[in-house]
Amino acid sequence: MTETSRPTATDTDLVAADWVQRRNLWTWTEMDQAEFDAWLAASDANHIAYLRQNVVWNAAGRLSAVRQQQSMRPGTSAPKLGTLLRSVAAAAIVAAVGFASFVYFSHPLDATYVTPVGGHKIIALADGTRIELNTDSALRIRGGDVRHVTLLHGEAYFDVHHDGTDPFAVTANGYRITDLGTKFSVRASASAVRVSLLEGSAVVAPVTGQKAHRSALLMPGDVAMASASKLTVEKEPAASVASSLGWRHGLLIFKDTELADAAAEFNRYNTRKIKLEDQAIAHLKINGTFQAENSELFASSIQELFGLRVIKSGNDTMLSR
Amino acid sequence: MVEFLDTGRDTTDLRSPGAEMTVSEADAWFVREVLPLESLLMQYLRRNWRDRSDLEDIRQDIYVRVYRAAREERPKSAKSFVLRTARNYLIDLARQSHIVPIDAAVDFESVAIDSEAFAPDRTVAARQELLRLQDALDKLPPRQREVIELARIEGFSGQEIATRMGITRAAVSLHLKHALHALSDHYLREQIDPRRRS
Repeated sequence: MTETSRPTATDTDLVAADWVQRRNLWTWTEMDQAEFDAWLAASDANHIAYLRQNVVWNAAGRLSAVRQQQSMRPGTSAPKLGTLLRSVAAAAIVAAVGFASFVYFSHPLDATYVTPVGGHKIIALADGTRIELNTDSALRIRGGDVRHVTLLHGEAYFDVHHDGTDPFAVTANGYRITDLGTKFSVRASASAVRVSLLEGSAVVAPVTGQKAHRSALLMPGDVAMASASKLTVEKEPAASVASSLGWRHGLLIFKDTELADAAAEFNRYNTRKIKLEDQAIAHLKINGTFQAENSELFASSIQELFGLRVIKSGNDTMLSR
Repeated sequence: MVEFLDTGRDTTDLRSPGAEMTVSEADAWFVREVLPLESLLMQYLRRNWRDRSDLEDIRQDIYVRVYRAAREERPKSAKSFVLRTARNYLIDLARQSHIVPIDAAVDFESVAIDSEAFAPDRTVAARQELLRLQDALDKLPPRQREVIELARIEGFSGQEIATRMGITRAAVSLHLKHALHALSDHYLREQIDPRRRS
């Protein structure tokens, strides 16, 4: 605050907000990317301001599933989001508790598929493509166009019916995955997209702008991580890619997985959360196959195996030495 | 502490404290652990720093300090780390500007305790998030609200929004920029009106 040349925090926040909307809504060129990279790298303050504005952008995307339901009511034109949201939010909680999954229709041909925490849904599309939605996820199909779907958040597995003249594409967090005859999974988190390829091949590329700059051709075993600023691809053993899809059968498969990571996985599927009271146990290695929705059984197995203490408190299961 | 539902699902996020973090780990940690504390941090800053016009810059500096330190070594508790950083920062600033801070050195414990009273039941966290977003949206001017809804709820591109609203592309960008900025302040800082909790 002593340097007069420094922009104010508010100026920096506004520039960051501008980058967020530019990246997501408009044509994005290599020059834009270079300019953006330079701005991000110029200071930690810029980097942090971008993270902060981007969180809000992502959060606003969560309202989409809610809006779907309100526009399906007949006779209401351009309904207000306000009042309805509250009842839908309450309904979402009921659904989460009941482990149900539900679908909202707006336009007769628009559909948003939503699963609550612990939910799992199989969607069979008219063209023979099969989609499985994992816990706490939302997927949109607009205008009945089953070849172009959007993963709004969460994780999904795609077994695509290949059609060379009409490729299947999934959009998630600003990236598009286009199949070339494929089985793959996509997981969209706050700031990144993870694509694991099982069979066939697929292309991952940003939705807008020049593709050559940041795109990748995936082959079986490839796992791509795409974030705002970069796209990396790693090769994983086939068994490990298959294990990561254990959720399709309600299973979590761990191989030398640290307890902290295993607990985080369970917490994706359950409203009762496992917490490590004692950081010393975070690195304990877990091996085995568990039912995703049965975190109690997991906790008691861990308790016996490592001689841990298990304390239930409210909605948490606390583990400690 | 407020939870942000669309963050922190990566298993890689839960690295142990004390370890160095890569940029993407630090980013995920910051989004998941630090940003939800913003309302608490601002409350602390308002209570302990008189000049309100400085607060945004102070917050930014504290975030930079927290982020840099966390990259070197991941703190055990984000909350106590952020509050400790804030307190040290205010003390430094007070020394530099020869101002005696009000309560800066002492009030940190009481804020930390107060914050527990706000902690929502975990089962209502999802509902709270939607309500906070809705409250934030409700506070925007009509045009800003409309561009956000078209972009994030209806999923239109910038060009489509310009056509639908009959305004220029530059105007769409400008509305969106200000809308996002205003949303972030409301969304990250405000507690829900208790009357809406029922």
